[in-house]
Amino acid sequence: MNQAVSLPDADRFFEIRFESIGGLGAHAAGQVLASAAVLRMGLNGAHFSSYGSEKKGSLVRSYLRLGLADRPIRTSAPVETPDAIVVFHAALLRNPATFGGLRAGGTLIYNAPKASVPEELAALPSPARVIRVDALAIATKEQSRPNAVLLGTLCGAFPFLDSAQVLDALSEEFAGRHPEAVAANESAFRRGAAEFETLAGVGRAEGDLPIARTEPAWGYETQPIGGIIPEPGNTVWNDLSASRTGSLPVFNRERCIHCGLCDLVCPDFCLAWERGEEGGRFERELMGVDYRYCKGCLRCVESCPASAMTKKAETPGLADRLCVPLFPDLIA
Amino acid sequence: MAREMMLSGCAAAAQAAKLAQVEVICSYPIRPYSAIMMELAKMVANGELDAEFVHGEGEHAQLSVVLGAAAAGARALTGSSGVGVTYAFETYSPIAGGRIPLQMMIADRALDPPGDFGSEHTDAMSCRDQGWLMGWAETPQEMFDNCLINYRVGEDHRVLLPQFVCQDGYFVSHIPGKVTLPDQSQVDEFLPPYDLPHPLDPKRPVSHGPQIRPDQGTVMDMQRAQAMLDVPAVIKEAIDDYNRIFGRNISPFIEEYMTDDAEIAFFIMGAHTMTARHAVNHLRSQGVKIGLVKLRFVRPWPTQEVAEALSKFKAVGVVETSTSYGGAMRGGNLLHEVRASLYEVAQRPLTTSFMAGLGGEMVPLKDFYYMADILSKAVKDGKTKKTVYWVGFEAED
Amino acid sequence: MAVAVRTQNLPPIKLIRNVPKEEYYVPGHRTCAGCGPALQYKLVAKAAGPNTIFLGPTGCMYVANASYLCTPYTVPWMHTQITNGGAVASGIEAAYKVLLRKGKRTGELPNIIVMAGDGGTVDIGLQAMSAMMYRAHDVLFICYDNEAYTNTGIQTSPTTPYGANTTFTPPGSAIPEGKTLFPKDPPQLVIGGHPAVKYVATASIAYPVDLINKVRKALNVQGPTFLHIHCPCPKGWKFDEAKTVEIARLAIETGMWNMYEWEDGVYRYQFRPKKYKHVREYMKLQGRFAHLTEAHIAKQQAFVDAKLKVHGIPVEVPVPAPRTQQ
Repeated sequence: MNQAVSLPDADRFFEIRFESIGGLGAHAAGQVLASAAVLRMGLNGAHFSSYGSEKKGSLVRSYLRLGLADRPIRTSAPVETPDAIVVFHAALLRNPATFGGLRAGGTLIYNAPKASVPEELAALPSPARVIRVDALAIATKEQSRPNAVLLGTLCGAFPFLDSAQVLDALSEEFAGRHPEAVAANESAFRRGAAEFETLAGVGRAEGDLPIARTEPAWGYETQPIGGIIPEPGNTVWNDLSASRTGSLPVFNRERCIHCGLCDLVCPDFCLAWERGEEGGRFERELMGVDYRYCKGCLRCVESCPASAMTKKAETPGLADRLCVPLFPDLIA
Repeated sequence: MAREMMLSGCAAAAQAAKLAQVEVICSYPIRPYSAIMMELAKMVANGELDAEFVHGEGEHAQLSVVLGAAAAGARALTGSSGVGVTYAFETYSPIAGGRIPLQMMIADRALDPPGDFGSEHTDAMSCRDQGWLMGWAETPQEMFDNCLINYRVGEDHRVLLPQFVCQDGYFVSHIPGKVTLPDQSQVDEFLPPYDLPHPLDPKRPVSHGPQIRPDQGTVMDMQRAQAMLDVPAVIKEAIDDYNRIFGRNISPFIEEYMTDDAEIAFFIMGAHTMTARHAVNHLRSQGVKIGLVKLRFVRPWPTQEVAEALSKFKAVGVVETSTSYGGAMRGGNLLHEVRASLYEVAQRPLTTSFMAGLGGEMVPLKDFYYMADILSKAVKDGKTKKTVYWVGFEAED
Repeated sequence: MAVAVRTQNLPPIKLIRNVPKEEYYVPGHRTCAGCGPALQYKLVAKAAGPNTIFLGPTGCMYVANASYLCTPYTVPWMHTQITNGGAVASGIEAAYKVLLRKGKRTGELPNIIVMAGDGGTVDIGLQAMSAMMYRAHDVLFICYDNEAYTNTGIQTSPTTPYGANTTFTPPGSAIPEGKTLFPKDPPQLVIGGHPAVKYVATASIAYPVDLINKVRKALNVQGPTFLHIHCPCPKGWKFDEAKTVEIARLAIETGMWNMYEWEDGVYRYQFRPKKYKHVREYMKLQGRFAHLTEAHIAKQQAFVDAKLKVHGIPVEVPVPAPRTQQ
């Protein structure tokens, strides 16, 4: 057992929150870090995640509490006033709850390409440290996953975490089932620890951020009886663009033959059609994709016989620029 | 034209269903409740009742079928006994939480093991936390009344809850008693047509039962709790109307018998109440100051009414025909709710539990005399010797 | 007792151009990217039209669709337990029969469609499904088969193929193939044992026009009908979500999935390959089979051969020389 590490503030827990979507490994990352802290760094630690149905694309929050060895951790409430928030997917930055409760002197780490400074970051406290790392690019290059990179960045940002121990824990986690991943993870981790940028002057808010707690949509007197939904089809209000993992289909109107195959393989009804031109060849014509609902499965790209749908890497703002809304009257 | 008939509890319930013009019935055979289904099958076959009679493949299916039917907008009825009641257990909360007011007639039967046709209340009592209305009948006439009253209360838009309408197997379900059957027009005045606020109808689409997050769950639970709080007022209204229209004198939650200057009393529900009344008559003639309080509704439990009624006495014997192994005081569960009701009363009576009628055994008069004796002794001693007596098993006290 | 006679007759479609344009299953639901069952749901809803009531037994098409106070169905929909989709649908149908008869509702008997997963059809839901078929209710029972209990994190179900890796059938040194049991055959369970059933068919998301037509045919038939729809699941079967349709096609081309209709005792087959591909072509694209050896794959092929024989389909699979044991 190595020498126990010390915490930045010995009087309280050090708390971290991962903001992610299913499939990016946030839960596994939390587990690795917690086991490293407890088994190798002489700390007390607790880790748990909150999530819904076990499928890709659904919101995942992972919580970590680290405490000194003589201080038992007796709470398993969600981390509401984190010292550090790690955002695994840049689209989550659009949700104010992602930053909820960040301490004024806290740290936000987010996964995005260089030069990407979304305006939502202005909501962060001005003394907060904002760190960006292109975890997806590094992970892709090293054939690893974003969670390995982000663990590295977290260790790089917080030297009190013994990165050698965290790396060992990460390797051990995979040694059994996926030994081929160990080396790739290590490269990704090391690059994550080295290749991050600290941004200055991003946040504009004063003091600690307020805690974001979900309030129920209705009270017991206003909720429709028996839990029914009287407004059918209200999933159209959901914005699913955060569930894309790096690619999206781009529509080329010139090449399209309006055959409709893409529509018949799209599980999500993302394609906007209009009546064809008067006297024209096509009774109905495809206008484009409503990216609000597109999850990036790319089946349309696979099925298109005319190469009118092609796969492109998603860069910030691309979807908004190309989007053809399905329900322009309903959703602004 | 009202007419009198000699009907068993099951037959009386069938007549009530017919007058309520039930629209979908789902059957599955298990004794002793099956008798109601045999009656209803005949009515449907003869064209006396225009309803869909669906042969469920099991009790779980029975409840599922009537759930669908009631959600679609039809008045629906099913029933069961014993392990059939517990086999359907998964469905009870979804039905109550979905606020679908269908009716289940339970003719009690002891739970396995082993097979026993005798009546115990445990089958229905095991389900009392699921959010349904629940109550017992003492006689076939009461069974008839309770079926109609429960439809009216359950379907009221302030309530919208399903109902367990219970009767002791054999003692009430199969022994005929006098039942006055009213006119259809009287029943129509009492019971409006089934009208669910959000039925499954393509003309007005809604979604029933989506997944929720835990924070939304608390709200739903609160709503269900609030609905139960609103039920007693609706019960009172309904029974007032029932008494007026049918010329009766039913008291909504409890009924007091010879309690005027009573020092000791039985607290009891279901079939054995009849015998208890005879016992009270006899003991009174011998100078014992004894009375009886009968419970109609187990859910919602009438806390206030029970407390007020029982606080008059010096000692109360809670007669229980259901088991709750490992529960506080190692007896049944009625005593728990009685003591909870009396907790805040300044002048509390002594209370003790009498386990009687288990397995479906008769509770003879001498057992009631034995219980009365124990209560009298308790008053003299100023305390009960035991919290629970298993009647017939105890050595001389 | 007069039975409500269905006069609705949904017309079959011949070309993609004729596919109905209205959607009754709108976007925004939280299924995985590339979800096979979601696609079939969309197509079924299109085929059925607005006079429809869906039942959703617990499963992916419940939890992923109707979650957190929103639902994608613009027709009436009700959740049922995973155990009782068939029973609840029976009750709705019975209610509509009596309500129409009494004049409390007007119009056509609505399409009543149970959307059950494989577990809700032939495992925990088998009893209710069979009883509904037996009682002759005018209901369409659809089994969307993604070959596992996927909503709960991928566990084996009775339709999971032999050799599949699921969290309840993980391969290990003691049990190298993972799943050792061969799957149930849902349409065969229904055919022949339920006298009231007149139409049973299999379909696949690989052939959407065919799927829509089979749904319409099943809805037009008076009485209980059964559709078994193959819906590859990218997360459960571990393949790239863009390949869902390709995998569905390969299933048919290897005989792992057979496309047919059974109507009044007569079988009609669709999309029967002239030459079947070896099952290896299908299995090698899916992570759930990655651990299998040649011996296991041979067992799978033998199972498929036997199944095709039962259907009287001559099997001409080019049998390559076995590779060395892995």
